[in-house]
Amino acid sequence: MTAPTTRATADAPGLVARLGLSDGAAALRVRFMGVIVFQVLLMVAFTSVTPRFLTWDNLQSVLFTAAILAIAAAGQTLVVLTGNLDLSVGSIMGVTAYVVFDLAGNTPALGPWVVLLAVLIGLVLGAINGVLVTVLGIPSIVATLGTLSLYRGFVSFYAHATEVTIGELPTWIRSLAPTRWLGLSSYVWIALALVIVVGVALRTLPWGRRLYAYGSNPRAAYYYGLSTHRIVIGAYVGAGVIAALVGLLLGAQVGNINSLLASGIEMQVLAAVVIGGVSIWGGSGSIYGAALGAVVLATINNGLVLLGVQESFRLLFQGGAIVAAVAVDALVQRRVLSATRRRSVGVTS
Amino acid sequence: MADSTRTSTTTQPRLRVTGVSKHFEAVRALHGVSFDLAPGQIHAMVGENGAGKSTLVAVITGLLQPDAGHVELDGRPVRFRNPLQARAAGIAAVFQDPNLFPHLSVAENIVTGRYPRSGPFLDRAAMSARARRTLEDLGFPLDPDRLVAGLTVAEAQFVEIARAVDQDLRVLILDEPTSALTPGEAAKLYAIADRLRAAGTTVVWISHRMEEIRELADTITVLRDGEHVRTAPSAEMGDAEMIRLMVGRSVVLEQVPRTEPLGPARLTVERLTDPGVFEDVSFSVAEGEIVGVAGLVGAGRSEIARAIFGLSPHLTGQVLIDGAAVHPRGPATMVDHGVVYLPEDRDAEGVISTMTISANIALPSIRRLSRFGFMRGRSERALATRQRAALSIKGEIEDLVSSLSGGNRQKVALARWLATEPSVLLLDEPTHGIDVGTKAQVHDIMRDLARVHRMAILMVSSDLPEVLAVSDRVLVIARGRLVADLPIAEATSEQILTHATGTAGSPR
Amino acid sequence: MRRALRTYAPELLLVVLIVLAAMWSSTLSPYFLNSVNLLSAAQFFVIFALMAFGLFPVVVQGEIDISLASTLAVGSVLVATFSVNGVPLALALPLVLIATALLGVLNGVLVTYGHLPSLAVTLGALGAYRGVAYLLAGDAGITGITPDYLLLGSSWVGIVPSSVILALVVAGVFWLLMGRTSFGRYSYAIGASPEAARMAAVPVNQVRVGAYALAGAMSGLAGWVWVNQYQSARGDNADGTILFVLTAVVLGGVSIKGGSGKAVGVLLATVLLGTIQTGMKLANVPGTSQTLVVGALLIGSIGAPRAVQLVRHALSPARRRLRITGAAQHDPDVA
Repeated sequence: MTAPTTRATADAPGLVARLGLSDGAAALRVRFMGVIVFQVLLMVAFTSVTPRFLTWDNLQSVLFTAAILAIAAAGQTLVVLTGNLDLSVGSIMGVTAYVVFDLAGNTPALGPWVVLLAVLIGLVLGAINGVLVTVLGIPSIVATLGTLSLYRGFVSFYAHATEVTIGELPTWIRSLAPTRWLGLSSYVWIALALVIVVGVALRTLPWGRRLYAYGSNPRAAYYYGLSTHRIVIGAYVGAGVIAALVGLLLGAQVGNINSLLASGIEMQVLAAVVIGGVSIWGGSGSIYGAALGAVVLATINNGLVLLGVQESFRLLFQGGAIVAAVAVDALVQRRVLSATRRRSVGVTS
Repeated sequence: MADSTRTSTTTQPRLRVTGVSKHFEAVRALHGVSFDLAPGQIHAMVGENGAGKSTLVAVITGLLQPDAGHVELDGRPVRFRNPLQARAAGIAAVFQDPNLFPHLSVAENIVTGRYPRSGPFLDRAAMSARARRTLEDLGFPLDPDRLVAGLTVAEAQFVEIARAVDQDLRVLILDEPTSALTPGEAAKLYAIADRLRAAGTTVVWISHRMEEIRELADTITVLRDGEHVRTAPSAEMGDAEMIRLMVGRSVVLEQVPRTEPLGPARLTVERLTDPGVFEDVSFSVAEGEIVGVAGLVGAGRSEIARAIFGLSPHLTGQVLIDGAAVHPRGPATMVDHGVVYLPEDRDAEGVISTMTISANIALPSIRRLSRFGFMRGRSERALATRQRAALSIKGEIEDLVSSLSGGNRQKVALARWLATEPSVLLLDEPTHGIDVGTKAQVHDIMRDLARVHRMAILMVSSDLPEVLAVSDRVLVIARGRLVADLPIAEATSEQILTHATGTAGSPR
Repeated sequence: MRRALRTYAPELLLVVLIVLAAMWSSTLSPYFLNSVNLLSAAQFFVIFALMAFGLFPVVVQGEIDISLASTLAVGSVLVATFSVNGVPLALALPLVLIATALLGVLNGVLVTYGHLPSLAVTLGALGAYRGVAYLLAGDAGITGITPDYLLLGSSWVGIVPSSVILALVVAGVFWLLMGRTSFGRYSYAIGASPEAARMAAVPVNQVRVGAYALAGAMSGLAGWVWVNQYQSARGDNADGTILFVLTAVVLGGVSIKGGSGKAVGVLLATVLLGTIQTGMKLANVPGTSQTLVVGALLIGSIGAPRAVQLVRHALSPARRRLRITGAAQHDPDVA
């Protein structure tokens, strides 16, 4: 895997240099602002072409899609901050949705405890991912690609090709999706709450700070006695639990749940995370950025649909957006890493 | 000879190391090392590369567990499982490469793992205040909320020291602390060490710089080949004796005067500039000549050599090989013109440890050895065998390079270039980390290559005795500029150092 | 002799496993061991084999390419389009190979000259190229392939279908390429240590882009084989097959970190996976469960050796020692 090499300091091409960024800290700040600017530009662009974009109804729809994606992106961010990936989130969502709703339908006495069950499932599946990556040392791409099919296979096994239909779900779940609070869908509020909670946790809990430290420099983290295994497993468990919750929300929204729920969502989640400024090398980025990235992605999708653009272009655009976002991050990362190697001896600087 | 390994019974030693041994598979890194460190002293630890200093530090700080022996802190036996535990007990180490988290703030770096809390949450205000206080106490005010990503090497090093000093510190170990600092910054560091000593901390100072040791150390410990040789007060151990103890015999790197005449200039550089790294460098190297490049670490010497080899995208100026202008687009271009470069970082850039000696030696010559893209195994093996014999490499050509000692690995790195029959050799710290015997061998090889095989050699080296023994001319680089070009007859250590530290009147 | 056994140990293990898998499959169905059936089943896996060989040099160089299935779809759709428009195969096939190779070049350029992580680039390409395939194919896909394009599916050399012959020929080519040419040697060097390779004047960038181009071309070739097999082409061709391909490469002994692996290992691993999957089909195991098994094999092939290592380490307290970061552990001079 290529990592951004650290060459001599005066190595900042184009835009970054012209913005007069003299150090990595500024580069990181600019990155986040860039996403906001991009979102604003997008909205302006779409509105000018289709005024329908800026209607309240349409924006609601964008926010709704963004909500689910944002929650999933929050979970994925935990893992990406450690320098790893979790490609199995879609499968975790699928497993949770099916198993939980199946049980909920068959034993209505469970009531709201099903949420706890979902959390448990996410915890276990996430922990498995974490152990594979840390204890067994399997690179996260490979490990989670494997668990992606492992977990998905488990669902189809369990499901025996049957579906869970909306009629079998308890009422409180069925009514969650269409509920609105203060004019916005309940999902948007849930997403907001969750993003804030996780974001605050990362900033104020020592656990979160250790996560960032590990992602920033795993070697130093090990040296300073941070339990690296626990940090990474913790990140995967967090991602798993959040993915499980998303599974619940998705299932409640969709109504008919089969074993294929949420397959393929990984790429969208990853796109949101990466666009939102979470560096794929770990150590930098925030939940808020990832949530913003989800909004950007949802905006793009919505805009393209309004413009009558084919589905295949969406895939194209998404792919291109991932590459572009990572390219920008590569520039930023090089700035960040080269700074502490700068000699104070030298002709300039 | 007075044995100062054990301090008198009146003052309890701050740190006592007893019979510590550590081996890595077949290599014996430490063997029965025992000595004391007294409180309130600056205690220098010297020894060549491979003497065991880093391993000993790793054992003391809990990064490694010893195979035998134990360590006592203030009379109590201690066994740390990781550096965080060691630091909690008051032992901390600061290394050359910054071990910091670039994406986090200075304050957060200083308190990593020991976050001040209010309830379950991080207390940011307390963290910032504590960091600020520590930095001020050190005499190095820095904004604690700045991201580490914006710091220079010197600033990063001070943050590391702040991190170490943050708690009640009993032993502070500094590994080559001034190698990347300007004299001004180094002076600040000496002041900090002084202050710590006065406060009762034991400062272990690991360095190769004799002047520094002379000025600072109260006690000196010499390690050699994993064994403890001697611990004595600084006044009782002169420089010559220190070197003798480090090396094991009186080795003076001999000059071998040159009888062969020099040929025409093979490598000429004019007004070479890499913005921010070096500026307006011009010199030439003649056929049969060895030109040494001296200067402080970070002056830009390696960067000049690498730039000539085509590794610098922002280079301006002229490079002439045998009088013809060549644009250093990349290593392949330069190799085609007969210019080769032996990197400073042998294991990461000089050889590929997981491949065989034969494969390594053949690597740059593959194009020559293959026909229509197909390799000829027999020619490859013949080439490797020839080079192995020529350089006396100890190992079978099918052995992996990772199984060789440092000296032999360097020979492999050199062999693969010699196989391309170059005319200009750029050597970057060629004998760094090699035992003295092999060092002398490499020097003989260099002289042979220059004088008999008529190559032009540019040698970057931080080892002044080596520069003086091998070079025909010495270039001195300071702050990215060429400040002196001395024929060997006029060059002395003092001269070179004066130019290197810029005290001889720098151009700006 | 012993040295040969040691160097080829993983491949020999694969052979043993293949035999075991074959035995298991034959118990599931008496039809398994019929040579005609075997060969016809083998046809199914030619596509995967081609993609695996394309991926092989990329992984040896320490990179990855998860967009190959999407490239295959572009290839298959292009082939079908050419066929339907009456372009002769002799002209169409090279054009398709060039087109898919160019897709690979795009990946390669972004990874090498753009210094971007290969996972991110090929993740983006996976979606982008899939989109291109859908665009070219339209909603319904393309049918009505002319018979002159279908020669792979309808010809045999003796009893062996010619697509299988193609796979074996490609295997041989890659064995030569990686084992005997400068490209192969450069690839192993780059995978082992990109910095050292660069310092040794290895044309790292060109070799890297070359590997990606080759991977793209192989996927294009696989696309043609696909059209032969299904007589049609759609935008969703081969979606999700990258798991099988990556498993085949990793199971074949190619280290995911780069620097090692042999072509014969990849071939054997493909055969092994094919045998297992055929057996599962005979046992009427549902599709997603088959994927489950492949996923488990992917994890197992990397995780099992490490697990064994861990267990052995844990069971020998006398030699237990902590890991240290950095290279100091095996370097006799860093002490």
